[in-house]
Amino acid sequence: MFIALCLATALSGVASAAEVPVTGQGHAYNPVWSLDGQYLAFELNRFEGGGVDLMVVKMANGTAVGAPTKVSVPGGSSQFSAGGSTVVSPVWLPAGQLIFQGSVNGGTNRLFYWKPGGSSPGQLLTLQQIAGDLSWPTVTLDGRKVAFVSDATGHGDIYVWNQAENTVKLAVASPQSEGAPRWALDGMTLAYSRQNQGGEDMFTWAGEAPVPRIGGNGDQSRPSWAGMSLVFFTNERGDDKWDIAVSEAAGQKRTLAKDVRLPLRAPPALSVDRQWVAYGFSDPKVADKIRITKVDGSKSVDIDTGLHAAAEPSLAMANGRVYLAFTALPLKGSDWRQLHVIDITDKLQ
Amino acid sequence: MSSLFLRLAPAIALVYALPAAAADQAAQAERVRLQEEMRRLAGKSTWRGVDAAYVKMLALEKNGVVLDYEDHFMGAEAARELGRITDVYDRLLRARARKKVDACEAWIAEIEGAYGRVDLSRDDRYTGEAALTPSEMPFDPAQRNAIGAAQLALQNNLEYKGLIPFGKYTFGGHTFEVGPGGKVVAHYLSTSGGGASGKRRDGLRVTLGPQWAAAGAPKEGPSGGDVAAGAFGGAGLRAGVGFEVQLGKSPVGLMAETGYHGMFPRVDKDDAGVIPDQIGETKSKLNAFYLWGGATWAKDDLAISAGPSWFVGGSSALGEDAAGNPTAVQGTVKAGGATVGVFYGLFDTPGMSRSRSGVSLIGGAHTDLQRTFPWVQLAFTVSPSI
Repeated sequence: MFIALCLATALSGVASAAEVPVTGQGHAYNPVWSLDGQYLAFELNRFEGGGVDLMVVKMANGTAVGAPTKVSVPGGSSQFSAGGSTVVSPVWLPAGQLIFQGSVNGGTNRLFYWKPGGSSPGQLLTLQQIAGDLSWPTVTLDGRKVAFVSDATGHGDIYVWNQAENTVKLAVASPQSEGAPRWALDGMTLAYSRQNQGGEDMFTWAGEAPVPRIGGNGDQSRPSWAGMSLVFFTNERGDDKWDIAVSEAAGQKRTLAKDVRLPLRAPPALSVDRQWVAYGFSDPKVADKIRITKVDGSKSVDIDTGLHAAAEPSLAMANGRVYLAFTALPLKGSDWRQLHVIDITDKLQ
Repeated sequence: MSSLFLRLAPAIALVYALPAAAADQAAQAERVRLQEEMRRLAGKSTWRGVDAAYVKMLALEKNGVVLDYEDHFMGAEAARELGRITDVYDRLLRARARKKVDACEAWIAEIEGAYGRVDLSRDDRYTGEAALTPSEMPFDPAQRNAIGAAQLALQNNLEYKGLIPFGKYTFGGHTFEVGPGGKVVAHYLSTSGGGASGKRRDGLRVTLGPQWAAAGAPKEGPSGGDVAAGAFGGAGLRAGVGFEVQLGKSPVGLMAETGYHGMFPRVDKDDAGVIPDQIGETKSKLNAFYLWGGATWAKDDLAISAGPSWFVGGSSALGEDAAGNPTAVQGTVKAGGATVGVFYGLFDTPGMSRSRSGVSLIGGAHTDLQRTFPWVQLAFTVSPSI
């Protein structure tokens, strides 16, 4: 770890982070860029009293254009919805619309659809199409299929909604709970995790029987695709020791980064070209940095944020520039974790 | 007295006002309860319940309850989840009337910029492909729900009038496009198939009502051993059933009708109004079956039918022999001529689609070359409608 940090330091430099102004109170979490880098969605978590807001802000050259818009689910904007709503897990569609998971007053979690500048969100799928709490939405690159988890049977199973047919079909079910599905770039293969005796193993599914991908101690969770390799979080060294690993084939696993700070909900943050992965650290001594490492492990770059507890990274490319969004606490003087954006194009040369 | 009245007036007013105020308070309390119910049901995504609660709240407006922006907006959200985009639009307009809010304005603009009006229907006897199918199902769930609701309405009610998303569709094998501009796209699937644009005026026609029927005097009197019936006339009944078919998209069609044409029995009297002593009381009557065919022209609730007609049947009447003596005459009548009818629809015929019921004034004249048989009828009529 020490050697890795020394190598990284040689490539690092202090960057100037632009703060996204947030008017509401709460900790900013889980920033997710739109595919064209024009919008940034993030969660604003109030913790006390429950409730998580979803905010969306337009971005230009790494700077927020205007104040973020709060995206309220139906019933969630009403004055008499005093119990608050929980709106999380944003996923962008290629055409610039947003899918996310939301509930009002502790009610059922459903998937919602919204486009920036449009009316209030609507439910993506009706109760008649699929019952239960819906979570973990993931969209194919062409935007034609959405996979998600439903607990309609009492434990999480993975379903796929086909937009052209407007049909929902069960993809993966087992006596255990499945979670965190993620489409591969081919739009045909899903990676997901399945609970197994207190831990989680990783599987892939391509329309037929699920194929075990990687197991081991602890959790192998939240996969993200880099080509046909899987980049995921693992805590095989202990409950509080999270690493990022890469699996290039079934049964193979290579640890890419150790002692990373586990994001609240997101999978490992990959760059648009899927060659880099960004992460923060759990070690407070280096928690001012976001590190970006090539998936093949050949290179790392540290982004010195000048902030505290930097985490929740998300990468985007817009107009030929590479931007890093992350959340962090200021070194002093604020109760809330804020959202920041840095242009890191030069760092990745 | 007036002073006493003035002193009691406030109390009297109070006595009368109390029940009204109590009713208003009850309505307000009910509104609060319904708001709570809407919130609870929205949390469970039970949008049908949210919608029902909103409709109940709307009914409270009769009791003086004024719904606010939030009520209407949540009503719009519920309608959207149920796919009733036309209701969404209506409720948003109500919300806008209460308060100008950017979200509401944006939503209204979004609907106006993405949906167009259609008027789609099909005959209940249409047996061909009748599905409404978009060329591409939109991603937006509100748009998908709107299409789904239109499909359901066409399936269950045979018609859908309202908004659907811009785009290309097929309906009964007919392709059309909904786009901006506010034009209402109308298509009707008739029993003759083909998905022709515009509704058709095909269907059953029924006529029933009293008539006045008569037989004129013969051109020539009896000769030799012959007898000839004299002129007669009186109240009767005419009832018929037929069918009508529209020609293409024009207002013109063809019709055919057949039925009973008769005159109630009536005591025969001579020209002076006296029953002839020689033969005692006899009765003139007419019982015939008629056939009428021809052309129709229709516009809205007005329809005119005209064409040749015939009747054949039996009749009896007071007549005279060659010597001029009164006698009862019976015989067969075969006559041809023309009939004209004017129909005005007043209401939809219960239990029949695209059928109107109303009144007709029908008249005509036939001849057997010896005499004319005029009649006029005021009838209750069932007629096909657009």
